[in-house]
Amino acid sequence: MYAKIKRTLGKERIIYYFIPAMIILGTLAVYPLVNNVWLSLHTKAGKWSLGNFARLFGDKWFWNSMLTTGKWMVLTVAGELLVGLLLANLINLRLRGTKMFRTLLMIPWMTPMIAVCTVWAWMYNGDFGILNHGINQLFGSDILFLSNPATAVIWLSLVYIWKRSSFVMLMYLSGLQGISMDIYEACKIDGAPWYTQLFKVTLPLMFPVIRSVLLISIITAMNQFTIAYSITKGGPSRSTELMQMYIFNTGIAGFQYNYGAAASMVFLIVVLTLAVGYIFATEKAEEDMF
Amino acid sequence: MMLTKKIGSIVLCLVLLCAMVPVGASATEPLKVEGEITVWYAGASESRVELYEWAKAEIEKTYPGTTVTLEVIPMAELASRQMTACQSGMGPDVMSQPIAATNGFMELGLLEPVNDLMVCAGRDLLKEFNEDFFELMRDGDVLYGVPQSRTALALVYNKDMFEEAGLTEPPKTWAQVLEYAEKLTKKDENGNVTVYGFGLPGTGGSHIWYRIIPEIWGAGGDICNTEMTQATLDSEATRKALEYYCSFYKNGFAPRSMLENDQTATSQMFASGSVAMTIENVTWIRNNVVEKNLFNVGVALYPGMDGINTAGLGGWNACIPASAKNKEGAAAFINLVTGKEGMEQQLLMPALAEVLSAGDWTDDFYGPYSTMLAEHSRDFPAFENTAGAQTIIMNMVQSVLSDSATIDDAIASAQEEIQMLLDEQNAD
Amino acid sequence: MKKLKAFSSAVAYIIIGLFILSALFPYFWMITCAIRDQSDLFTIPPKLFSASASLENFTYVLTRTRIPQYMLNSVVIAISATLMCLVAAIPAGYALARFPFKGRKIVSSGVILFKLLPQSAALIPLYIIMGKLKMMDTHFGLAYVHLFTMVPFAIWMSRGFFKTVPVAVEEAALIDGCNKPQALVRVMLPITGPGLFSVGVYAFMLSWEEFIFSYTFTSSRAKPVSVGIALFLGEDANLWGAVMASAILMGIPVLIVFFLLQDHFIKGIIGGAVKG
Repeated sequence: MYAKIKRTLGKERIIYYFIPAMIILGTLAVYPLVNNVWLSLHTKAGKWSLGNFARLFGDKWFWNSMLTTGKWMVLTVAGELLVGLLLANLINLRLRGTKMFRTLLMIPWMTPMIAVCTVWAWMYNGDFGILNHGINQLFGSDILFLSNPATAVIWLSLVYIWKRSSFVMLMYLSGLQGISMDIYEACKIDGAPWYTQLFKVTLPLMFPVIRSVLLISIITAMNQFTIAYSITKGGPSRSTELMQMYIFNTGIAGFQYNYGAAASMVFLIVVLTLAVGYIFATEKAEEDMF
Repeated sequence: MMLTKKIGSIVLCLVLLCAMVPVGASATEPLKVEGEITVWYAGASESRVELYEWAKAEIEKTYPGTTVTLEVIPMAELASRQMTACQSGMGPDVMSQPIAATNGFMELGLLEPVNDLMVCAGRDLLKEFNEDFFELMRDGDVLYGVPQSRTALALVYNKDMFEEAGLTEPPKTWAQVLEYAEKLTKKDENGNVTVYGFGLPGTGGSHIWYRIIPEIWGAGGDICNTEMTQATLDSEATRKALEYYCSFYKNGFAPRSMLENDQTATSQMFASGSVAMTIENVTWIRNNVVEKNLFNVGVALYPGMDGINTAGLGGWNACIPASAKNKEGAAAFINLVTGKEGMEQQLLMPALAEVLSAGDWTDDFYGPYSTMLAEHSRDFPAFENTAGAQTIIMNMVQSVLSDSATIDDAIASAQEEIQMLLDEQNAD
Repeated sequence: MKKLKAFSSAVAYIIIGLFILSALFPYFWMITCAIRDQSDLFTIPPKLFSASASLENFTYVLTRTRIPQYMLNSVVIAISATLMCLVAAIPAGYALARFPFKGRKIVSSGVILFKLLPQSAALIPLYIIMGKLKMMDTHFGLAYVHLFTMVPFAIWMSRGFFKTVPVAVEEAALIDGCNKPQALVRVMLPITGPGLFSVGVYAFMLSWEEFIFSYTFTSSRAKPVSVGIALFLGEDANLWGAVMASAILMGIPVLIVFFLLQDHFIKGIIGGAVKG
C-alpha cells in the first residue's frame, strides 16, 4: 500500500520537473501546430475544404520556393561541411596562436544575423558594393551578385556559409579531438601518407559526428528567413525566396491565413520526412561501417 | 367639426415643427468631442509629424478632457496593420492611409461614412475638394474618406548636367528620353560609368507600379478593363512599355544595380549626382535636393510614348473605421488636419482646393507637378489585393531585366496571375 | 623532414590567414562605412577609405532615431525570455539527465523534434492568437514567443551539462538527507553553475537576434533592435551609414559577452549538440 503510494508520488514528482516546459511548448508549438492543421483544411469562411492543398499543388511560386530552398540546402550544407572540416583540421594542428585563430574565426558566427546581412547586402551592391569593385580591379569584369536570378542563391549561400562555418568547425574539432593519438601513431608506423590517413582513418572515425552535424545543418538551413528577407527580399524574380519567406508573404503579408497554413504544413512534412529519412539512412550506413 | 379640424391642423403643424427642429438641430449640431481619440498614421517625414502633433495640441486645447493618442506606423506595415485591426474590431479612431488602400477597406465595409460627421464639423467636402479625388471612396453620395494629399509623378533632372551636355529642353517623348539618357551617361578613363543617364527602380512593388502602369496607359493599354473582370495586360501596349522600361538597363543608361534599387535608392543616386534623370515625387525632391541646395533641379511633365503620360494618383486619405469608438472625436481631428491651416503643413500636395490654388504651386519647381495633378492624372484600378498586383508586375519587370524570361513570356505569365487576382476579387 | 613540416606549417598558416581575413573583412567594411559621411557612401566606384571620419552616424542613430528605445526593448525582452527559458529548461534538462523513467527516449526525441520545427509552422496561428489576446506589440508577448526557439536548445544543453556530473555527487547529497529537488538546488546547480550560465547566455543571444517573430508581432512599442535596423531602409532614404552604425551597436554587446565566456559556451554547445 505504502509502496504503491510512494511509487505514484514518485512518478508525479518527475512530471513536476517538466511542467513549465510543457506549458511553454504546448502553447507555442503544439497548439499552433494543431491550429495550423485546422486552418489549412478550412476556407476563410470556416468551411471544411481541401482547396488550399489543391491550390498549392498548382501554385508555381510555391514550387519555385521549394526548389529554391532545396538548392539552398545543398549549397549551404556542402559548403559548411567542406569549410568546417578544413578549418577543424587546420586548428587541430595546434599551431602557435591557435586559440586566437579560433576566436577570430568565430566572430561571424556570434554576430547577430541581421547585422551580418546588412553588411553583406551593402558589400554585394551592384554599384556601391566593395566586392564588385574589387573584382573589377582584379579581373576587369563585374559580377552583379544580386541581380542575376540564376546565381543569386549561390552568393546568398556564401554569406550563410561564411557565418556558420566556424560553428560547424567547432563540432568537427571536438570530433577530431576524440580520435586518440595512438591511431595516428599506428598510421605513421605503417608509413601511410596524409591523404590515406584522412580518408581511411579520420573521416570514418568522424562519421558519427559528421552525421549529427549534417542533420543540424540541413534542418537549420531549411528554416532560414532573415537572410533571404534582408539581403534580397526573395528577389530577383523570386529566385531567392526561401520557403519561410513564401509562407510569410502569402500567409501574413498577403492575409491568406488558410493558404499560408497549408503551405507551412506541407513544408513541415517535408522537413520532418527529410530528418527522419536522414536519420534512418545514416544509421544504416553507420552500422555498415562498423 | 370645423373647430376640431382647425385644432387638428394646428396641432399637426406644431408636431411637424417640433419634428423639424431636432432634425435641423442634428444637421448643424457641433461635434461632441470627448474621451480618447486614437490616430494611426505613417510619420514618413518631418512635416507630417509636426502636423499631427499640432492637431493633437489643438484638440486637447479646444476640448479639455480629451486625449489624442498618436501612433506612428512604418509604411511597410501600415496597410496590413490597419486591415487586421479593422477586421478584428480593434481599430483606431482615425486612420491615415495611402489612397490605394481606401477602396479595399470601403468594399469590405470597414469604413464609416464621413458625410454627416464632417457636416457637423462645418465642412462641405464635395465643394472643398476636387470631386475626382473621391472617385474610389464613394458609394453614390456617401463618402468614406477625406483627402489629405494628392500627388502625381513627374520627371526630375539635374539641370547642371543638362547644361553640360548642351540640352536646353526637357525630353517629352520616350524616344527623347532615351536619346538624352545616352548623352548624359558618363564614363571615366577605364570605361566605368560614373553617371547614369536615367534611373528607374528595379525592385519595390509600389515604386515600379507607379512607373510602369502610366507607360502602359501612354501606349494605349491598361492592366485590366474598367469593370475589373478581365486582365488586359497581354497587349502590344504592354510589350512596348516593358521594352521601353527595360531598355535603359540593357543599354547601360540605368544603374547596373537597378535590380537591387528601389526608387528611394535611385533617388539617392540622383541626389548624389550619380543619376541624371529620374521620376520622383515632389516631396522627396523638395526635402532631399531642393532644401539642401545640392544642384539645380528641373521638373518636367512625365514623358510618354508620343506625348505626356497620364500619371497614377498617389496620396493620402483620412478615414474612420466603422468599428471606431470615438467617431465624433475622429471627425474633429480629421477636420483640423484637412482644414486650411492643417493643409498648409501637409505633405505635398495638399488636396484642399483652396490651398492648392493659392500659394505658389505654379513656379518652375511645383508647376509641372501641379499640372500633372490637375490635368494628367487618374486613379489606378482598384485592386483589393494591391500588394499582390504590384508584386506580379514587379516580377514581370524583373524577369525581363534579368533575362530570365522573354518579354512575351513575362507578360503572359503576369496576365494569368492578374486574372487570378481579379477572379478572386470578383468571387466574393 | 623538418623542411616538409615547416613548409606544410607555412601553408597551414597561410590558409588560416586567408580565412581569418575573409572572416574579418566585413567588419572592417562595417566600421569604415559607419564612420564616413552619408554622401561618401554613394560614390561610384566605392572608396575603400574615406577622408571624412566622424561619429555622425552614431550620434544620429543614438539621438535622433528610436534605436536606443529598440535596444532597451531588446534587453527587456531578452532578459525576461531568458529567465522564463531557464525556469522551464533546467528542471526539464535535469529530469531528462537523471530520472530513468518510462518514455524518456520519447521525450528526448520530442525535444529534438521541437528543435527542428520551422518557425513558419507556428507563425500564422500565433499571429491570430496574439491578435485576439491583445498580446501584439507587448514586451511579454514577444518574450514568450521567443521561447519557441530558446527552450528546446536550452533543455538540450542543460541536460548535457547535468550529465557531466557523476551520479555519485548527488547520491552523496541524498544520503545526507536531501530529497531530489533539494539535491538539485543545493548541489547540482553550484557545480554546473558556469555551464548553466552559458546556457542562459546562449538563450539570451537567441532572443537578441530573433527576427521572424519579432518582425511579425511588433509595430512600435515593443520593437526590438533586430527589426529596428531594417527600418533605416525605408521610404525616405536608405541610410546605409546609420544601418552600419546600428549594426555595430547591436553586435557589440554580444561580441563582448562571447569573448568573456568563450570556453563555457563552446563546451556547452559541443557537449549538447554532438553527443546526439
